[in-house]
Amino acid sequence: MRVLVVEDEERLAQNVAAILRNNILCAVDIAPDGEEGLFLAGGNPYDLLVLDLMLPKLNGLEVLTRLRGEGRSTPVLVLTACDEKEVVIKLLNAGADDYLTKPFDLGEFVARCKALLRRGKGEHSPVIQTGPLDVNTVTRNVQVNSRQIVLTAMEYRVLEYLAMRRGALVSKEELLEHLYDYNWEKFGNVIEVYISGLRRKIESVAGEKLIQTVRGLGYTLRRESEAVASTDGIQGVSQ
Amino acid sequence: MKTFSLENRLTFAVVASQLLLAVGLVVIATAFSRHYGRRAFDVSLEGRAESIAALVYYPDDGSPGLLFNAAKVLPGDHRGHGDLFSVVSDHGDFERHTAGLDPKIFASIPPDSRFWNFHWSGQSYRAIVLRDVAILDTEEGIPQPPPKLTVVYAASTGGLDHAMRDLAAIIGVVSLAVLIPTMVLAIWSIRKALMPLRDLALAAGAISVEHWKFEPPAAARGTEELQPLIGALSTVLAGLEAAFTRQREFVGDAAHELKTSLAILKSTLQMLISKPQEPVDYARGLTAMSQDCERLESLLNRMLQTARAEQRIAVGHQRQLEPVDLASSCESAIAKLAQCASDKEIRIDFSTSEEAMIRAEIADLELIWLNLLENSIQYSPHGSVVELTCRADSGLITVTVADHGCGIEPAHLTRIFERFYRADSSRARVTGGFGLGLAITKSLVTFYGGQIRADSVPRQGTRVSVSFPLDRDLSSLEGQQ
Repeated sequence: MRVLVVEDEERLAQNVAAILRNNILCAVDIAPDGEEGLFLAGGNPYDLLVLDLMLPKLNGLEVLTRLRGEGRSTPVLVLTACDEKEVVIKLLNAGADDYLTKPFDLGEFVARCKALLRRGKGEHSPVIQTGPLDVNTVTRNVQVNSRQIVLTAMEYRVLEYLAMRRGALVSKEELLEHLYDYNWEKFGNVIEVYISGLRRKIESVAGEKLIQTVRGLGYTLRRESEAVASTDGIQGVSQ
Repeated sequence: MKTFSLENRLTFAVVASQLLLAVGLVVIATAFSRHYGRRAFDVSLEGRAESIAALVYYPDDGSPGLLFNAAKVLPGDHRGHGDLFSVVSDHGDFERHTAGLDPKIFASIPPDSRFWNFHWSGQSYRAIVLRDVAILDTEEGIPQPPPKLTVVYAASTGGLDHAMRDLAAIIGVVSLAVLIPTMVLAIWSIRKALMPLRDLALAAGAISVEHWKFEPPAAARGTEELQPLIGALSTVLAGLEAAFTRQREFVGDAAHELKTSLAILKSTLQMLISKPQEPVDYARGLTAMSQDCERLESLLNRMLQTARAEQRIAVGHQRQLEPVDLASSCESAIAKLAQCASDKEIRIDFSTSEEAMIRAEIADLELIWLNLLENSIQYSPHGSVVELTCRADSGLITVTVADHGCGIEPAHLTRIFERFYRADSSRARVTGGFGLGLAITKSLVTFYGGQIRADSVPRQGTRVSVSFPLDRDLSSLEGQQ
């Protein structure tokens, strides 16, 4: 998962980024003002936007309105110092998915971010099931046939993303874009390493192939018995 | 306080004055006609008295004495109350009077009065007395000197009084009849004339903190007397709305800054306690929190300074201030910033043309120069020069702070004195500014009756000038010293 934080207060932006990295295991980009926020959000496939309301150059509401005007459906969590009803109504009507007033509680912030990330991928349950594989996105517990699988942080992030897009074809670029911040192009071949690690840990316990490789295109998380749907999966990406 | 209705008062005043007018009219008209009625009555009395005298004649046969032609006495005007007369010769040999009249009642007539009012058999009478009336008739052998007559003629005044009463009644009734429609007309026109005032009051009553829009009704705008009120209301409201909006913005901005600072502190703290950390991470977190606290503290100080400066403008001068030396306040501000300037290898050049005194708190003056110099140092490149000059000219004392920094874009230049305004956010954040320094400076300068202006050429530098009016008393005092 990759999140954009648009916040002009540098210390707060750093803290929010640290919270997101540590608690949600996602890549974080920071934009210090509205203009840059809009530019970054328009050019990168973020899974979540954490948006401050009072921003220099372009205020948060304007960023939100323009983003939605461009047809971007990225979930947006607005951080605001103001909890007046009119402001909240205006925010939600402008296309915000949720809001949180400063100073916020770390636990609540993390929970709301996770909920928005899930919903953004069409998931409602925090536990994503694929055959014998259960991925709990809240506790970051991964079980196969009710047996605990120990994953590295990066392996978990790859698996979580595949699980949230399960059944769909996910290209290597998409994975890179969603797992790393704006430097993602530097990370080249690491994805193959994580995928092989995941396969080794999961498929040995599951006794079946769960991460399918579509040569030259990418990966899909699904049971082999659902292979018939693979072409649908490919179409799903282009949709 | 008891309220009253303008409309009722006006209506009452108009009705009362109309009533008074009607009563006055009745009284004057009655008195006037009574006067002329009396005169006509007296003239007719005189005529009748003379006609009585004309009825006295000498006998044709030359016998002594006088005769009276009673058959030719004119009948009285008033039925039932016949006129009374008495005619007496001064020779004492002739006396005639109305039948049944006791002539003694005329004996009490004062000897020199011509008219006399009296009551007889329940009636008011007015009598005329003609004395020494010559007998018109002439005959041979009339006694010499010829006898003279005294004629008293009286007529009832009941008819006259009755006519006067009727007249008063007619005038009264007519006045009342006219009064009713004029009253209705007056009330209607008062209502109509007061309608714009009523509408204006309603429009003004609709103004609230949520709804500042004041739209004077067309009728009120077209009323000459209401123009000053509408003008004053509009001006006051516009000022109030602006002040209110500014205040709300300030509170909003202040809340944003405070909550953001608090959010930093809280998130750092929660990150530290969310899971066990290495000692070095705790140390790093605590250091960060300590910095956050300092930041919060300086924000609070800045906000309090702003509020205090603005409060003082609102309250005005409260006591006589001692004159202080402007140049020395500049010097102490420079001294306080020496470390900060030398960190960036910036030199502050101070030049002053003459000693200048102004009445102010020295701490306020210092704060003004501190804020301006701090800004200049922040935006100046390493190793550059910031100039502070103090000059007195044409009744003004002007202090200028000029730097060779990055300058300010014209779009920002007009807004830099607004609270929480940061022309360049990323820079200001790094240098720890809140966008309050220049706002405080402006408030303080305004408080001391001065003016502040900023000129800037992007990429060349900024020049901020503060001018105070030179106090004449102080400059003459200086001259004596």
